[in-house]
Amino acid sequence: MQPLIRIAGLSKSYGSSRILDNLSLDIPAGQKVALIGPSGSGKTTILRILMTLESIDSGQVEIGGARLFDETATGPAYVAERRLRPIRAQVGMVFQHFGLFPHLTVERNIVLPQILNRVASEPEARRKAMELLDLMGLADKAAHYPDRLSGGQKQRVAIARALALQPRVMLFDEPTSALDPLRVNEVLQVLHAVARTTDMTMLLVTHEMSFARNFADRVLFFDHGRIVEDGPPDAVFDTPRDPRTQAFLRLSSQGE
Amino acid sequence: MPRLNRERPHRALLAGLALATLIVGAPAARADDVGSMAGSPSGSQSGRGLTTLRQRGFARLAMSNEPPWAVIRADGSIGGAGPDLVRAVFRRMGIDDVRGVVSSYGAMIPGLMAGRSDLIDSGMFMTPGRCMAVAYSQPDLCDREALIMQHKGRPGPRSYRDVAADPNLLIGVPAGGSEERLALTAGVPPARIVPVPDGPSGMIMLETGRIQIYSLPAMSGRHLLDLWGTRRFDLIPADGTPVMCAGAAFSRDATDLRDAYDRALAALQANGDYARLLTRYGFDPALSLHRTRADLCAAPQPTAGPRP
Amino acid sequence: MTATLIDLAVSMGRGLAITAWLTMGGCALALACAFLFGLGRVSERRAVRAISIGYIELFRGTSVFVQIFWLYYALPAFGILLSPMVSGIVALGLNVGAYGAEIVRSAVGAVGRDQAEASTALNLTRWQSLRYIILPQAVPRMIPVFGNNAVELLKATAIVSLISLSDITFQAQQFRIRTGQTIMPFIVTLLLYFMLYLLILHGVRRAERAYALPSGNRPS
Ligand SMILES: Nc1ncnc2c1ncn2[C@@H]1O[C@H](COP(=O)(O)OP(=O)(O)O)[C@@H](O)[C@H]1O
Ligand SMILES: [Mg+2]
Repeated sequence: MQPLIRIAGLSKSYGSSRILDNLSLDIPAGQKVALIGPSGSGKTTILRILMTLESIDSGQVEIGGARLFDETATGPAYVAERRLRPIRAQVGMVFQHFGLFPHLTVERNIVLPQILNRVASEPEARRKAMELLDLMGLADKAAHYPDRLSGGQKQRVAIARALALQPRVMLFDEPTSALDPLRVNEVLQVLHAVARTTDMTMLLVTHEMSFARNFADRVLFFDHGRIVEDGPPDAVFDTPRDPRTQAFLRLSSQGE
Repeated sequence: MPRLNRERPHRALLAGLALATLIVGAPAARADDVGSMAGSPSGSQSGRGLTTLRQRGFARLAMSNEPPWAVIRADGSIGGAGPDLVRAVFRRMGIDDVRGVVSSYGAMIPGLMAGRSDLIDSGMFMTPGRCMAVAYSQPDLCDREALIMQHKGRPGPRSYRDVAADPNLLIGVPAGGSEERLALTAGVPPARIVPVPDGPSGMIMLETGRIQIYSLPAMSGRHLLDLWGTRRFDLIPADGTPVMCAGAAFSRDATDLRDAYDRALAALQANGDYARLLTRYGFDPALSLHRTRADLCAAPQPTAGPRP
Repeated sequence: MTATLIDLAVSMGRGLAITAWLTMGGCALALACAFLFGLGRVSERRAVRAISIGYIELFRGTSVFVQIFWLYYALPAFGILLSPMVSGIVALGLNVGAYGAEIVRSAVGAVGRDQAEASTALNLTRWQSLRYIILPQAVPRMIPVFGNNAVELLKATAIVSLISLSDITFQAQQFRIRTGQTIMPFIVTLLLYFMLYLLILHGVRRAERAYALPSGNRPS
């Protein structure tokens, strides 16, 4: 079966430093993937490329069989906006720092993208928003503006907002790392519930190792823009083969 | 009031733009020299020949508020000796309607060049420089220079030379006008020459002692004294200054219109209408009698009267 | 005395109408130019950016005096004869619009990158992102500065006596020359400009309230 996401020979540098180093990766539909690794190893960058937010130096990315890049004289460039939009429609992203729209209420944050994308009429979009907020335990916050919410609440709204568009792929970039430690669990529970109840393909960058283990079908360990270890959670966490993975996991477990 | 080369804060720029317009319009001027009227850039879109004016039925007269030479009333209508004379002349030429284009003093020549008016008549004295930029009619309103001072009951200065001789006197002049050059020529040091932006300002400067003498054309001075009351101020002719004359100024590519104007003006001078109109405003019709455009345009810069 | 007062009222009233029209027309054009070229300044297209930068620098780098003069006295030589009022509005609008464009650019730039990226992640088009996400957050930042510009424009209208428009300042000057009175026209001039200033201030306050962000999100 053809993988939903196909990354081939992807490289990217900032100046002289290589962020992604000839990276190749296939992800089949429905897989839940945890991306772990030291900070600066390129995890965020790979998600941003999938979300069409970051340029690349060479390589190719396909989502659902559609190419993200055209080969040009100056290297790969994103395909025309007109062709990019249907691809973007299949991908949603949750950012480390939420990215909520401060001038819109919580409900409006979720409703407006649905309407602008023409995936729902206004009443449908509002019903959907309330449904998702209910799921997130935030039904009473619908009329609030984001600045009145705690970090954990904001992140749950951001998750609801992305889910409302029903993407096939969800990207989570350290969704709990900007939160008060007391608030981390409320977000992880939501993530867990979503992962259990949908067949969405999910990529999660996280430093919560025990959660990664519960959540993921597959764990990727990144180091210096390469995938050093790739396998099911038990294998990667219990019997890591690469010394870099071993060292990283040792440090992480001390931290936990 | 009418001034020679009156300085305005932006005079250099005005001159520059006027020059630029002149250059752009240069082909037209040349075509005009060989007797052609059509084909000029400004002529083609604004048409200021006599026939065009007759067809249009009115003339556009640029003027600024310089009583009694030219007057803008509260309702925007125009009067004064210059515009009234222009009306009479044009009526004789078969054009009954003269509409005012109210301008600031410095903007009148650029406006004429840009085709925004057909002529200027606002007490703008003829000088060799202006004669090169515009086509003047024969002189219509002439005047002498005068001095205004507070009434003291004892004899004051009677000439620029007298002002130069008394180191305690500050003299106000219409900024950069002929008066400034007259004063300098008579030996008044620049530090004692004060530029004055307009008539009422000059009177206030006299009242408050910022200046002791205010020099300007006699007719303008008379108008100011009418407003301020003649008891507190003296107005005397400045000894040894030349007579200056204004005229109607046309675009250089409209000399046919200017010539027609001259003929009609001469007719009004012959039948006495001219003298009656000028006398009504207090102007002396005799002053223009033996003066011609050719003399005034060729005149060297004014000097302070006969040498000792 | 009564005749003088009537003269004053009539002429200053005429001047007020001219100044008010110039201010309103100039502000409307300036606003349009500010958004057109301010957004053009941050366009993805090189040519659009170049044109916008050219406009902004040309009109900020030369005085409104020169601009009004070119429009009114020099353009006719190229066959374009704008009426005095149109010349005045166009010159003031283009001049102040150039400053406004910089305001738009910086206000849009001050909205965090994360907002544009979140819009992309939610598959909004560039236009939708601008219209529904960026501008609603940027406009409240612009309004007070636009207000300052409108006041500057009001004060700059006095330049139009150059082009045969009899605005408040010109009428006051004409009244002085006609009557020799100086204090009275200057008091009236002062009051009229101050009244127009208060009107602009009032309009800005209303716009600020209308476009205010929810509390806590006001731009600092
Ligand atoms: N805009 C940028 N300019 C320069 N360097 C950048 C930029 N964005 C990211 N980087 C660098 O790229 C590397 C990888 O970043 P990132 O993908 O965010 O790593 P991770 O998410 O694994 O911590 C880091 O060293 C970071 O400093
Ligand atoms: Mg990261």
